[in-house]
Amino acid sequence: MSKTDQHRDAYKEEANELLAELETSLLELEESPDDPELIGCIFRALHTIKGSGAMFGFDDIASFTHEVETVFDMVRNGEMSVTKELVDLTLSARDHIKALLDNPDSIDKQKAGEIIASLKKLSPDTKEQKRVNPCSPAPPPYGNNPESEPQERNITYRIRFRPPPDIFTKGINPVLLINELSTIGDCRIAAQTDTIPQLNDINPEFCYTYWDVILTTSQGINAIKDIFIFIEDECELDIDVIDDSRNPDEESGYTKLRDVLVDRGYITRDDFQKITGTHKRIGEILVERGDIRQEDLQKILVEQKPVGEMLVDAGLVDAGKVESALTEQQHVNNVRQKQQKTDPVSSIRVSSDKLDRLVDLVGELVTVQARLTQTAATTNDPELLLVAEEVERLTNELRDNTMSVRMVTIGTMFSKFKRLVRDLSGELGKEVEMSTEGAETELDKTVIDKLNDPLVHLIRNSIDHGIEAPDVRNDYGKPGQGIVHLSARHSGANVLIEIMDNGAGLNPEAICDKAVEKGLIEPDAELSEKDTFALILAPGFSTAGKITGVSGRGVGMDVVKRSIDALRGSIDISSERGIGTTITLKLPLTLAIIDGLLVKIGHDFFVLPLSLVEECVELTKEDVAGAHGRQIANVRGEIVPYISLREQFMINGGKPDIEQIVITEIDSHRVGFVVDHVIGEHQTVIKTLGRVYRDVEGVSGATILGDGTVALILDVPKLVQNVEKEEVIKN
Amino acid sequence: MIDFKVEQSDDKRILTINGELTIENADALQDILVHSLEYAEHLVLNLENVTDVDLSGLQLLFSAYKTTMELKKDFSLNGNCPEVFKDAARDAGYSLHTGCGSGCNKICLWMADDNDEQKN
Repeated sequence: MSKTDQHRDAYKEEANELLAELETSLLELEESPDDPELIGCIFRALHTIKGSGAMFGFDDIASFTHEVETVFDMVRNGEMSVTKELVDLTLSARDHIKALLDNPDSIDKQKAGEIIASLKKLSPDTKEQKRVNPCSPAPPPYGNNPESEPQERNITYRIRFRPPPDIFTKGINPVLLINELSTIGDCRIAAQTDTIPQLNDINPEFCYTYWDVILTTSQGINAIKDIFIFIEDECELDIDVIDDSRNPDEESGYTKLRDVLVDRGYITRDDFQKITGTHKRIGEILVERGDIRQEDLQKILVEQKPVGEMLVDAGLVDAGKVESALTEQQHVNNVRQKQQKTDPVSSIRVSSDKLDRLVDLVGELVTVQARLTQTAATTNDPELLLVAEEVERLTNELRDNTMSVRMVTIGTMFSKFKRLVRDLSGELGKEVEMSTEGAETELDKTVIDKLNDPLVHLIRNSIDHGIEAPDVRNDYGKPGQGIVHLSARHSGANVLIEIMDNGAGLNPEAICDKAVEKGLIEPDAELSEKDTFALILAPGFSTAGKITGVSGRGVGMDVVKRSIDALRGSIDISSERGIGTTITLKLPLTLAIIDGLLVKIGHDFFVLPLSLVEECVELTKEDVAGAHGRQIANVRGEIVPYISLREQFMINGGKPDIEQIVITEIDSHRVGFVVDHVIGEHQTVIKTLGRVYRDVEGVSGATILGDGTVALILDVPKLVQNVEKEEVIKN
Repeated sequence: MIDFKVEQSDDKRILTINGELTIENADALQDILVHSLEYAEHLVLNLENVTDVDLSGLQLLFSAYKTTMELKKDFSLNGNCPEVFKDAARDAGYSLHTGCGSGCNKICLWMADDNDEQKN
């Protein structure tokens, strides 16, 4: 990929983000049209899209966006008011920019022209229009973001270090000490040589040189002192703060000099400000260091020559000192420039491929670490145990960290749905308001990506089938505007996402009738409410004949169910007629790691997802005998059917006298799994099985244990389904 | 190890220093510098074959430079400065100096070719 391509890709990515931001802001603007901050935000987004677009050769985008930006400039200046029409037009302009970005070849020039023409129509008679809000404060000027403080605070120090003359004979090299300063920060070193005597008087084994070092570091003064700790008592070490990056203009020496100059009438306050800018001039630095006297500086200042040169010419100060002061000035300038450059960068873009690779590697590392711990435990070598423990601690930290890198807030997705709700309700002639909650909830990026389509479908359903038309709602005594509420919250290692509407609710009878008609249930079947609602998730219940991607209509809920299952999640539906429907999705935080229960059958290990496990009970031979061949256990008076994994996987060998039943809850039914031994909780990194095993049912992946053994991760719901099917066939 | 070679051409005295310009040889270096300066109007140093330099060496050269300036004589470096010399000067913070204390002759003693300082 060429450099230009890379830049263009980076621009596309950035522009896409800005467009998303633009959309969110526009939708919010519709609700609060007077908000100057929103208007500023929209303007800035447009401005950036335009500016960088032109830079990377997206001329179409640049020129189109320019027109839109012009309109918002007027809005910003209060020359135009925000109307629904304007928001509509800007939204379609946003879509047009997106189209230009994604597929520049198939652009509809006419549409662009229409949008711009309509926008222009909105703007000309602005003079007569009412101001947006005469009392509202002026919108913030462009680029006026509240300054974010750098996390670490850099302070610039001036260090004067004068070693004892006999330092060489002590075997200490002062140059090394001085250069050690560069390890804790950005530094500039200037040697001072004015104390070096003439050739006849010099003792070649003495150190005459002393140094002025300008150091910018975030590590504090003690880190500097530590470097000189060996010769602390014998050397002369002065450390002064010369520039604290946070308050650039509040240097006392600076103000003093200005006051003196102004008092004497040499200069007006304003002129001084103009000349000095924010940084200290060379003269001030020298005065502050005590290298020259203030009065001498004043004398010199009357002449109009560069201060440094004047001072040297006048013999007031050694040229080396001026050099060193100049160095200081330049160093501070550099640091400031650098700070200006680096401050806005608070995050970096990394391709998700790289992150996936990282997670993979961390997964491998976790496995190897478990092995190390186990080996250490077997050999019982205290030293090895120590190392193993340390490695374990680090690995855990690394794993948590890596996982957190992949976490993304769900809010970005929520804001996308706002647009969906807005467009769809307009299309269907319904009034729907969307509210969200818990937008800051974090989820693994892969989960979020795969969640988009099911959620789109569920929201469409809510609006299409749930929320009634305004007049119907009024007849029921409900407010004309329906509500779709999206919420997300953490619950243990899971995230619960709720889609709630206050529409018509589900009709259990209608569902049952349809299910009978489709042959899903027997006509005389008695189902609980929950089971009835769950029917809408069944494959074949959908009225649509074919399964297509997901643009919403015609796709059954079974596709939603399948997508959520693939994410190891579950769906819960509750509904009340006339009040509304709530669909709750329960999803794991991450797909890469699973909290599992490690069990053993014969010599083989299996992992059951801990999120499904309810409890473990014993199964004795007497219990089995008492059940008369049926696979049913009595757990505190409750009948729980169980599946023997030994039989399922056809594992040979003798059963132990007392087996264990791991009881799980699947779709609100309790089902037990009989195993030989329950080993315990086990956090595992999921490895997908190879292509050969892709079609194996009942196993969702594998993991590698500490000793290198492979344990299969069970797809519990699938296992239950399979057994159910077999039973149906048998009977 | 250090050894010197002194050549006279016209009014120039060319002092070629080979070996280590370090504290072990500081006495010898001081002697030869004092000696060379006594008879020369223009002292030229050739440091091309210097293999090591430390702070004492730098101090001595600076002292020699300062002394020639005092005596209103000329002092210059001949040939290419070895990297080791430039490195030592930079590490010790000498490379920022452009001249002696009296500021008369503004030759760049330390050959600080990366010296892009701006004056105010």
